[in-house]
Amino acid sequence: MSKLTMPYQCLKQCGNLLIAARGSTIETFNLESRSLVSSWKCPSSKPLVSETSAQEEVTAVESPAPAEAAPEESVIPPVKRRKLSLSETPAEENKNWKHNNKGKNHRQAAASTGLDSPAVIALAVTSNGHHVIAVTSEDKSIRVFENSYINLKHELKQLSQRTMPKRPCGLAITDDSSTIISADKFGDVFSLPLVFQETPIPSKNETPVPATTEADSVLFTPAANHLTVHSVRNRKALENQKRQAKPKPDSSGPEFEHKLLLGHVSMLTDVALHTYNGRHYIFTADRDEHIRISRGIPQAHIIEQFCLGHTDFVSRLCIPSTRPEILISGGGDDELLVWDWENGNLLSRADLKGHVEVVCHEHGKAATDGSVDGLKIAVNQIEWIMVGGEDLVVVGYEAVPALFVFQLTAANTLQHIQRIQLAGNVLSFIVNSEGVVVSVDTVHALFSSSEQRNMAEAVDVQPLSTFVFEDQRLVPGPAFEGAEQRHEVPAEELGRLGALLYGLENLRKREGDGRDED
Amino acid sequence: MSRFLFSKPRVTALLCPSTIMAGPPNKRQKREEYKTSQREDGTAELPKKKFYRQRAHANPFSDHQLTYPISPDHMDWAEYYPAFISPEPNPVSESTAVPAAPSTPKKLTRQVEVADIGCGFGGLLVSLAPELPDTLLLGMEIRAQVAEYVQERVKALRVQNSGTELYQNAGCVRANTMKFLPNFFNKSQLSKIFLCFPDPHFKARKHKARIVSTTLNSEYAYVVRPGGIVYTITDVEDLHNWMVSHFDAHLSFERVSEEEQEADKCVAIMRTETEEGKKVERNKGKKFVALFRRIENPPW
Ligand SMILES: C[S@@+](CC[C@H](N)C(=O)[O-])C[C@H]1O[C@@H](n2cnc3c(N)ncnc32)[C@H](O)[C@@H]1O
Repeated sequence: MSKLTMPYQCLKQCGNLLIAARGSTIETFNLESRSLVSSWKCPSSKPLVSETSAQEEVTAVESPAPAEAAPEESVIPPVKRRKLSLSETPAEENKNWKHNNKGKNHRQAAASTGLDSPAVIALAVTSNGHHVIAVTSEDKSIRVFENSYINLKHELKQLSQRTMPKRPCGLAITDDSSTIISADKFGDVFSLPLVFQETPIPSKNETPVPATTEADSVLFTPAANHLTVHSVRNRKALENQKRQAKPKPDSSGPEFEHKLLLGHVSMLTDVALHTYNGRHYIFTADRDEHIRISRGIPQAHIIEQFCLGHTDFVSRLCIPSTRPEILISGGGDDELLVWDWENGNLLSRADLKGHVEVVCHEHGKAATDGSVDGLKIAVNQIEWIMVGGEDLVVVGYEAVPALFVFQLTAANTLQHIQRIQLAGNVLSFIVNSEGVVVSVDTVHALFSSSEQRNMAEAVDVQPLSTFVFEDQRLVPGPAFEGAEQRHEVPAEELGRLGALLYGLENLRKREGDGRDED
Repeated sequence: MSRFLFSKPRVTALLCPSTIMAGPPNKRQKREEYKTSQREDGTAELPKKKFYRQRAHANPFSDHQLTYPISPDHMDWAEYYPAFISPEPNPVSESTAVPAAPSTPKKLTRQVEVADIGCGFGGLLVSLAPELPDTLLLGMEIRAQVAEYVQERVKALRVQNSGTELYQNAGCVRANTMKFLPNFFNKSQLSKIFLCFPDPHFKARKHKARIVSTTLNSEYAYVVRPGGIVYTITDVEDLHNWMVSHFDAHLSFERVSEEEQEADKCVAIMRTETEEGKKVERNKGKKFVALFRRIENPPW
């Protein structure tokens, strides 16, 4: 079995700390000394992995054979895994999780990788640097940590874990470090206090759900009668409703304070908070090409503007601090867009695809099957930084082994100024005025989100690379200590790891997808 | 044939045979033949519903093979309201930094101001159009066949009334309004939205598919100008209560008094002229009406 070094899926800076999520663990590095200072590991979520139920689940789902006959080493092929994670409904989510833990051997193998527990899929930090907030995937939890120091030794101390109704996929923290804003796959945005209060407080909503909706599921009365229902289908639906048992009261939502702020009928991909001219805003992006700008709390029910111009999913939003009046957005399109967001006006477009093609050629890779047109790119991160009086924007693409640096001109256009080759696909990065720390994929082949890389050539690939600014150009910087410690990934885990590291391409609508069922 | 500036070259459902309700091939063929002749004639004959029937529910959460404008400015309204095309040439795009859209749509002399969301077979639309002759009305319907029926219905009515302006102000698009309403309308563009006999989705599990919800109401508030009205009517009391409680709870709306409601001529038309309304009438059922006014946003 080849040994693969576990890569970092998500990086964030918190003061002089680098917070780095690696599978189910969060490692913390000191950015000055570039050394590992602490590590937290997500406990496995017990109820879901109970030995027998996991076995039974496998049998039920995969084959009619008795439990003992379940092929223990069988693994769902990566392709299928990705599909599952794309279309998952909450029910499927649980199933996935059970799949992932099926078979005793398999789980033992996973235990050594940090992938036996829920994986960290999003990180955020408070502006005062006191707290780190993480989303763990399979248990749909938001976890709040304190940067605590015991005898000068750093520790991420978990203060609370709250299970959300749907899996969060985007996080933001208000400037005053008081409130977590969580966007989920089902299009809703919730706020919850950073500090978890023990006493259950009934949920209130910014766009309030009237009392009757909660009551609906508890006090069950048929919603209509034969006198008030006239069409055949309505009548049928009513019949069904009458036949139905009393609905389970589990739809009442979590028992901690949380407010529904706003919602899209689409999968949310990013959420950003912004303050401009003393006003607070919430920016949300979705899979259906929308960027929505709502007022901040407590008026989040008011939509101020839409920025419409993307022709594929939007995945990342970036607002440069030096130019609070503009927004940079990217996603599945071949271009980055720059907006006068207050008026919803497009200011400029910057080609991306051309630059990615150059990287492809440098690696001797004819862009996807020889046809350049077939090359699909998806922006996985956009970060702004001011260096030497210039506004720079650093961009990463899913499954591309490079970073791209643009200069934001006075006319709000983006000019490409540098391309940085990486030893593996870019997964995540942080940028500050010193330079860049970037997480590269140690496991997958260049340009691939599923193929394993040739280990002979990958032996020396470090999961974290650094670059430092010299005259506004990035040059290679010193290495991180401790990052190379081998958290090994058994080859069978590749599928699950691929799904964790690469999800954006799944957002793309495919020809024939969701075809009319009518 | 309707045409948008495509956000990308997705096949329009109206052209794609695979999206048409699966039925015996000869039935589909008949339907196609019928539609071709209907289109070619410029006929005054009203379309026959039987050629446009479609399964009752379309899933508002799936992608479909929808076409929709990238933004309201990309929408080519001229196709829908040819009598209202502005004689002036298009003004040159203001922001010169951005390359102009491949073909800038022709401007109309006025904007769409009334939307009938989930318009079904268009009964309300064609009854309302002559009553509001100076206003552009748009039916929006997620089911491709049904939207096409309404388009043909409007065309035939225009031919029947040629020489007059009648029905020139009515149009219909196929659209999933739960996802794409802001692609069609700018902020505060509409003065009225009609939500007539929406699908009730009785089961609690399906309530998310309801066309009225706390979060969707924010989108209605975005496209409706202050003072504008959202009209609702249903025969399902529970759905009525649902809609009332959700609009009442939304800070951008206030309930219109019963007195004002009954004085509104659109209410009488809404009660009697929608297809669903007629069915309820025949069955001597009850109809529940509620109107909500978009109020000004508070300062912030
Ligand atoms: C019960 S019918 C009512 C039709 C018409 N308003 C009437 O009163 O006769 C509801 C209609 O809403 C349409 N609809 C449902 N969801 C929709 C959506 N998201 N966007 C557009 N139309 C939708 C359905 O296809 C259906 O034709």
